[in-house]
Amino acid sequence: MASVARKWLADRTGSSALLERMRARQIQKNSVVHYIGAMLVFLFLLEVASGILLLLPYRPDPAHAHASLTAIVGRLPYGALVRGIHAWASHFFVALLVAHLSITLLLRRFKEPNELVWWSGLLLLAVGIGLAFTGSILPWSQNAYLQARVSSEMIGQGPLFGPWLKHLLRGGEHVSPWTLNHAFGFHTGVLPAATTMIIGMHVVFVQRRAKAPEGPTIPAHPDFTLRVAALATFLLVVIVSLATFAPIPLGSPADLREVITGEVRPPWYFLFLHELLRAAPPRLLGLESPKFILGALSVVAAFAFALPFIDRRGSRITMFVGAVFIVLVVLLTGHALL
Amino acid sequence: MGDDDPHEGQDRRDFLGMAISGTAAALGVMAVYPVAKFLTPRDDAGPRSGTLGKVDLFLRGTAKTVMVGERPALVIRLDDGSFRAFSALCTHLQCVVAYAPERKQIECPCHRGVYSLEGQNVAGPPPRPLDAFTVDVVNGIVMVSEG
Amino acid sequence: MRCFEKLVAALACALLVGVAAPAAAAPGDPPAGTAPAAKKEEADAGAPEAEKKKRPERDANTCLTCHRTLTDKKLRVVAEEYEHSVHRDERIGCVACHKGNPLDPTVQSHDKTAGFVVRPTHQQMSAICGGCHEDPTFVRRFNARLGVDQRKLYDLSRHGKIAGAGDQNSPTCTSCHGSHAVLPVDSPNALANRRQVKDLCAKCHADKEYMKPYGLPTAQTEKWQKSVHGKAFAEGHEKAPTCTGCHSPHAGTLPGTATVAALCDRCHQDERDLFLKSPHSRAFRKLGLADCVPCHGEHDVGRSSWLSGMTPDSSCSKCHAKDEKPRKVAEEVARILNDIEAEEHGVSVAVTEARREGLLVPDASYALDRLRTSKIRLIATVHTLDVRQLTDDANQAKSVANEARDIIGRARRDRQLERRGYFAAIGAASLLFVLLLLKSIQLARRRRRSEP
Repeated sequence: MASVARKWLADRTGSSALLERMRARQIQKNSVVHYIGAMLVFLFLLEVASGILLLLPYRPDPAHAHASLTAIVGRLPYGALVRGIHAWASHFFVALLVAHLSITLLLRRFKEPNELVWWSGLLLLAVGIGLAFTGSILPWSQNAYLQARVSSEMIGQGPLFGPWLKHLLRGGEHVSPWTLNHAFGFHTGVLPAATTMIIGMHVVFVQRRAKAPEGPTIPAHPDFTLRVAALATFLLVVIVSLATFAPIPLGSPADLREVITGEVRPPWYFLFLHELLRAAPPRLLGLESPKFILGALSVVAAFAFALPFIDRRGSRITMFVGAVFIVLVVLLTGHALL
Repeated sequence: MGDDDPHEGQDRRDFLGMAISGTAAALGVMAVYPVAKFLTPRDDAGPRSGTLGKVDLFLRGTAKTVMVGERPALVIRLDDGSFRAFSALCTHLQCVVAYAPERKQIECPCHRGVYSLEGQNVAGPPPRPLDAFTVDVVNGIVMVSEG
Repeated sequence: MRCFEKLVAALACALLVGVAAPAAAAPGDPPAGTAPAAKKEEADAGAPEAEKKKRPERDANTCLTCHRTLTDKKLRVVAEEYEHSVHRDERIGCVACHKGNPLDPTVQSHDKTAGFVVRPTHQQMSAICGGCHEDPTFVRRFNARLGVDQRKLYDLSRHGKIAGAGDQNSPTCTSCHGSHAVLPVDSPNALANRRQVKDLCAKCHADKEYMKPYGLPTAQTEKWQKSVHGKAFAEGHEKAPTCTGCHSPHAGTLPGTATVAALCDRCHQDERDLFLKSPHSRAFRKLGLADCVPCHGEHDVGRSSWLSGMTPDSSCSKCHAKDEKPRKVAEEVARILNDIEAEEHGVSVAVTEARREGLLVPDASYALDRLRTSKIRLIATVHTLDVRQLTDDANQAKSVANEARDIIGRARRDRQLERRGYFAAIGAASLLFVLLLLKSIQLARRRRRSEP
């Protein structure tokens, strides 16, 4: 019965050809990067599904945003679960993005013929964090509003495009109700579309490389797909458990008139930057330290983009420097969290 | 997943494959129920926080209370048909205030605090005016929101 | 290029026009400050001759011309203080109070034959200030809303009576309003401003040595600071009474009233009306007791929950230790109040816990608001001592509390059901995970076996 259905579909979609190709295609055995990549795709799909569900009852204007979310979590059946999945999966998404990139860097997989893969990957990091950040603004809670302010302030210190980006994110000079509208547009329209396209390109680039993988391999189907399915199920179980037993609180509604006392912290993925800015002396090398630090980071980012050209052979120096950088970021984030 | 290379352990492999398909199908069905309930609107609940119902059922010169998010709101329909909405909690000791249609003012039963129809604290102990809420009539339904 | 030169010429012309045009713009604003002075002259011109005579001479500022420049600080400071006073703003000069000869630019202006007095005594002061402040037609010209009964009330008060008899320790007008730096009472810098007045009264009334000759208690300010009124005042509450909230600022006790209790219902109307319906009202009158004070105290008005009941520190036991029926009523009232207090506390804790568990129950928190409202109204109703009414109200409040608890219970049950479904789903997912794992292992093993 199942095989009849399968044949019916296969005849019409050409899926059998795809499956054959996948059976022939070999993937490196025990390649963590591949598994993390597959998990990232799974998480993205999960976010899109839960996001679409949340999109329907959510009201994106400042007067109603928080109230609509309160109602989703408090009154809509399984609303708390859907929102919890969406919130927790986003954290996993960013964490795995960083892990995926770090491992790729340390294994020096950016060298030829992987340049396009590397660049599309860097872009995915940017849009991924963009998605997480714009998403965190949408509840329009007091915390969300303050985090938006602090984060966009930091971004605004960047060189060249910094102030423009800040304006774009904020929808103006200051964080205002327009910020929410911009965040909504980015989070539900621009960024998901961009991410889908870039993921597509990334996967295609991975597939189309002329070089075959070195070392022991397994077929993409059914071995790899089976393992990915198992991992995805496991990840789903973890996320749903967290959503049920460790819900992320919504916080109180944003009050733009309230006087802010005490420190405001950006979301965890920006904490390393926040710590750096806090610990730095007022001026560094003749520039105001925020500008210096953001400028330095931009230089690092430019370097990362240029890596396939700068370091053609994938030397160990890159590995060490990369490792040091990653460890620093992790330590700073850990220090800020504790 | 079922029609792989024909090797030994046919029965066991098939069983595993079937078990996987079966469990996956069951999970899929189990996921449908929450999604369906999530998307089905319920009249009393739902994210339409602050929904008061049809505007024609709201008589002029009367008032109703509705929850907006976590806050109770007092919604008054004036004689001319327009709406006013304020936080229903008195700014003195957070008693629930009520509309007095005979005197066209909002009164707190606890210490005789009085607010005008603009929410201004005009008599009694209340130290501040009532927070104003926004009322919109969308498709004939009265909706109240903060701010 | 000819095109380029034309372009430069055009730009230069545009620049010139752009700069020249705004410079030829409209002239600036007319000079300010001329209007108000004109109005005052007009007002003066309108007054009839008789009034003009009564009004003290506008001094030609000869007093200030000297006093502003004196090296002796004590003599100079009076001029400095006067500069910031409301009298100066209204151009009431030194002569209005000190008399003398203002037109003489020498120290001969201190002319005793012209009535000059350096420091009026306390006896003289109220006549000096009252000279203007008692006259409604005069005062109204400067501040139409300023009262004119201050002197009358002051003369009736104990302060006024002993000052009139010659006691220099009793306050007079300047003791509270200042002598030269007189500001309107509304001004936050005024000594007699609502926010400052307690310090003013306490300066004498909290000083044991000062009050000894009069035999007056000195603990009032301290008691008041610990009271609900004092605490509300410290929190900035606009309507919380300070000394002048109950004691008339000029009369102390208002004429015709025996105690301050007559003023409690300025804010506590409901309680007073309800009290008048109770058996206590008649009894207190017969016994000559003030209305609110025997149970609530006066300066040390505290939270009222401890008042009812028959415990040693309750109010009821002060009189009713031996009476059968009143004792029962007192105990019943105490029981009802404690019950309601416990209900409110219980529901509040339940709502907070529910919220902490992630259950959002806005309807329950609204029920809590309604419960609180009922409790506060119940506390007011206690003044009637009508046990039947109180029991009814308490039962109504209890049903609201139960409503809140039901809502929370239902939310918890819904969540339990969700959890059950969740566990089923997670069980299935875990099973799927295990199966997939097994299948992967199986496949891998098979591959290894098939590879040579």
